[in-house]
Amino acid sequence: MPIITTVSQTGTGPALLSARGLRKSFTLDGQHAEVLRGVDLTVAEGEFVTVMGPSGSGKSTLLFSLSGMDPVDAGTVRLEDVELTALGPDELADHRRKHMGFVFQQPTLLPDLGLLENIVLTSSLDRVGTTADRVARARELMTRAGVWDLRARMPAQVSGGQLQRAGICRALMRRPRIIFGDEPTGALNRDSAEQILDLLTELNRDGTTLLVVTHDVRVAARADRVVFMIDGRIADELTLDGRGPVADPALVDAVIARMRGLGI
Amino acid sequence: MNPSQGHVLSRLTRNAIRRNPTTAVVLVLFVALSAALASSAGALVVTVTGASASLMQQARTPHFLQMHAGTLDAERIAAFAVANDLVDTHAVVEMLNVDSSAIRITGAGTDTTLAPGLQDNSFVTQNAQFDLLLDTDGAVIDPAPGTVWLPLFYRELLDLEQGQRLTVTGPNGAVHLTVAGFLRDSQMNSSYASSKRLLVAPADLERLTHAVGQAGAIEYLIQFRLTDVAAVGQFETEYRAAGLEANGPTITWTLFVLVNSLSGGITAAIVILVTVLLVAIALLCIRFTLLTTLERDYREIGILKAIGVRDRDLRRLYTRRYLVLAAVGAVVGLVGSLALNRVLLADVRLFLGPAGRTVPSLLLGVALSALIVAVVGLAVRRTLGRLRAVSPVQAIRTGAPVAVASRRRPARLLSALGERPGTPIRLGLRDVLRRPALYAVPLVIYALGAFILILPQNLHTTVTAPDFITYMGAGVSDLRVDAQAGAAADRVADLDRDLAQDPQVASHAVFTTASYTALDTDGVPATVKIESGDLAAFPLTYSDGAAPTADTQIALSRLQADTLGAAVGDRVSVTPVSAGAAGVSGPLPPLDLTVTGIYQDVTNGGHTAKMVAPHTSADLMWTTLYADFAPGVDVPAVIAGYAESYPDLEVSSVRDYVDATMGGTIDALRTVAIAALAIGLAVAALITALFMRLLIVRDAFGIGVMRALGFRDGHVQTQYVVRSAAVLAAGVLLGAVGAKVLGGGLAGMFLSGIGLSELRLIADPWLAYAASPLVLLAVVAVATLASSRPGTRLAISTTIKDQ
Repeated sequence: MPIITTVSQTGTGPALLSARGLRKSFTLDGQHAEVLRGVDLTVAEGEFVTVMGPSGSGKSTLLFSLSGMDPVDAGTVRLEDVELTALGPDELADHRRKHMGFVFQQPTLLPDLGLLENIVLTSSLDRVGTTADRVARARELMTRAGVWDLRARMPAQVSGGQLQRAGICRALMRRPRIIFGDEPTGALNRDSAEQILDLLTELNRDGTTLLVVTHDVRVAARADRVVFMIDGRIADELTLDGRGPVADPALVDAVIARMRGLGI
Repeated sequence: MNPSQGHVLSRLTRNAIRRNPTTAVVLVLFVALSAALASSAGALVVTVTGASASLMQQARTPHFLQMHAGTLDAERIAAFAVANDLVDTHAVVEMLNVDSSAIRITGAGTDTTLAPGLQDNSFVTQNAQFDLLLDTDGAVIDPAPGTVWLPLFYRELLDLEQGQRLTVTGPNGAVHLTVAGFLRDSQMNSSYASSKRLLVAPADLERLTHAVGQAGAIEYLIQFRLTDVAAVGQFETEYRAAGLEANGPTITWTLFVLVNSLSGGITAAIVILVTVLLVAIALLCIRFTLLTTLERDYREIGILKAIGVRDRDLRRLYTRRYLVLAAVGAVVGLVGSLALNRVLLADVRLFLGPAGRTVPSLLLGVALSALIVAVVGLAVRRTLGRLRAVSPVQAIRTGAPVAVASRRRPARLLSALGERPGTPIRLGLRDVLRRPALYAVPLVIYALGAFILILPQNLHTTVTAPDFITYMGAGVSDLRVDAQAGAAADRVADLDRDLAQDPQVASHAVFTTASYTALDTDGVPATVKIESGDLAAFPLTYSDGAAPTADTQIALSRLQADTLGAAVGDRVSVTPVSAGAAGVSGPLPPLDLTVTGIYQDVTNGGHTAKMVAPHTSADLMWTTLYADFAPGVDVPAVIAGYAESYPDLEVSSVRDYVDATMGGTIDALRTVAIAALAIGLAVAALITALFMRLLIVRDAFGIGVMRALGFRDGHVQTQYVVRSAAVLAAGVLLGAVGAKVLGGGLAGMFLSGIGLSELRLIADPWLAYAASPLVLLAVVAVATLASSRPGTRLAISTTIKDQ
């Protein structure tokens, strides 16, 4: 099977995030593992891209490398005209805080802060607007996500789905240029997962750029484009035109067919 | 527990230690320190008692000793000894008391009198049968003519050496002797014995007696070795009933044993106190470590419980982890104590000689270390009661105990701060307020650290403060002159007349001290040194009552009052000394005086008295002159001027006087204060490092999340610095309040022996409440920063994915 390395851009706007020649390896228990073997990827502004691939193919590592959480061994990552790979840890942190949002598989709210406090956390850190402004923004997002009534609860006092929705509110709080998702529905039951997907699709329709790592074909079927990773490389990609309120069965089939074709 | 379960559990143990090696190291360190100190304290006690017993056996210390000044009927005593069945042997030893300032030692780099020792000094010859003075090899000394053997006490205090020259100057000339060596005196070795014996050849004692003439005084030691030591009480009664000479103190075997063990005993007591403190810190650390470990391992514990591991097995898992660490610490400590013993026991070996009890002291060390390990085990078991509360369901679902909605109180406290402090600071404070129980451990340790840092400092400040003179039985003055009775006292009168004509002098007064006797609480005559003069001119600070104003009144130092069993309002009867030095014969009428006040005094062994009535005693001892200068006068210059005009007098500022008298104590306190500073800072730094590592491990998930969200490492570190700073601030406050409230009493407890029972600590506010806390804060902040660098240890993705 030929490995196709594609540099493509099928989104609606100019390139927002672009990676060139990303390489990264780990040494774990004395074993050297090359996790990213020269990845090139471009995400256009407003685009919804999902990354699929078998376990250990380097999907999550790609996500952490693109967002600057994990340093890479070689290659460059640019967010608009800023080269992230050239920034120091503090500037990277500033960039993540101001321009990126994150949704993880496990709820990653701080256990000692209430839901509302978690959501306004980084805005408070930078004193964006007044306290009232911040609460108003959070209220708008939390109402939309259906968790405003839970704002005073601690993370341990709400369900997994509610936590994930609060997590999305937190990711959106600062109107980031891009949201990174690492299996955002992975830990949820079907109903909760659907609600989260609806929320993400809705956001994308409003212009938010999304890059989501997933195993779930129903998530992939809602994206503009699916990138397939195998052994640390981008093996193929599939441009879709779904973005409906629910996953189009035809698109789901198309994704499955392509996966079968790649042996995933 | 089946074998495979046991295997899994031991792997969990090993992994846990590997995951957090700092904690393991710190725990081992504290247990090691505790075990080392406990073993050394034990060795000290065993060695001191052993060495003291062996010295007293070698020296054949008397079982009963009666001191006596004045005339003596040796034949009557001999007759009594022969007639009394309890007496094995007896001896009457003559001692020549010489004022310590009249004994000067010179040599390369040395020129000192014996005055800094604050001791009564007597020249003696070697005894024939018992009460033998020994050299440092334990051999009985036979001094060669022209030489003198000095107590080891002076060698250590004044840094003296063999071959130096000792000169005694008296009204009838001077005697020069060569220091032949240093002696062990089984009666008066300790600095707690207020007299010291200097050994010379019989011919030299005669020369000395002639040279000092009237300035010296003969005192007798009437000593007995008994056939049965246990009968010493009965013997004392019989001695008293016989009406034999007894105008000085009586000392029995038991007291000699006590005095010989006291110095080592006090060191042991301090070491034991520090050990208890260290064990307490170790236990607090273990508790804290365990609590955070349990919190962190919550999910693991829940899973183990869910698969059927019993609480008992879990308890064993955790207990064993700490027992292994404690046992390692105990072994390290035992080895360390061998080195520590060399330092701690050096003094004991020097003053008391070898003890020959190596094996028992080693066994005691092992037993004490085992005890510490057992205490650790018990503390761990107690804390592990919490395991029962872990719910497998909750643990697996959330991985943490249920965090309840934030309490109102901290929220309100923080909202009162408004927006100003910034999010990292608010988050840091919030965590402290939310979890007071977690921070209670470092709080207590910081408070203890601040306490042991501030208290010695305050003591040092107190002793060096100008007002400290009021604890030395004197009022505050600019100038002070001390002179022995005799020719020098007349020169003081000349100086007083000069001062009267000097317009720069605001006030001046002369006080004369003379010796009287009064009956102590046991009805035994005791010497009372009374200072007479215009007490209103340089007023003392009285801890009880007020200054005497009439001729029928007297004020007593605290220890003198204790000796006489007198309180304010009581009457005491003091008898003037009529015979002896002045040669006046015939008894003088006693003075009946009412006690009007009690003051604190560390001079003269704490035993002094004051009155305004002129002296009737013939035994004048010394004269003291005080002067205050007018405002604006260059005091040091004027004092220097008078010192030049009166080269034969010791004209000095009060500061110099305090330094000269208390120099040893001040130096010791400075050393203690510096050591306490070092210990306090080291403990604070160590605890902070430990605490931070534990918190970072515990908070790894939250830190990962914050960093993922774009918190800079500085934002994260600030939170931790704020936490430790907040806890430290509270701890320092507690420690400072503790030092202020309890410090005086605690110091009084230790210092009551030298006459300071009600020491009011004077703190230098800058040093105690600004500089020291700031240094502590700096050390804690550095320790926090050094141990809370998240970036260097944890990749963000790993911490998040791990959860």
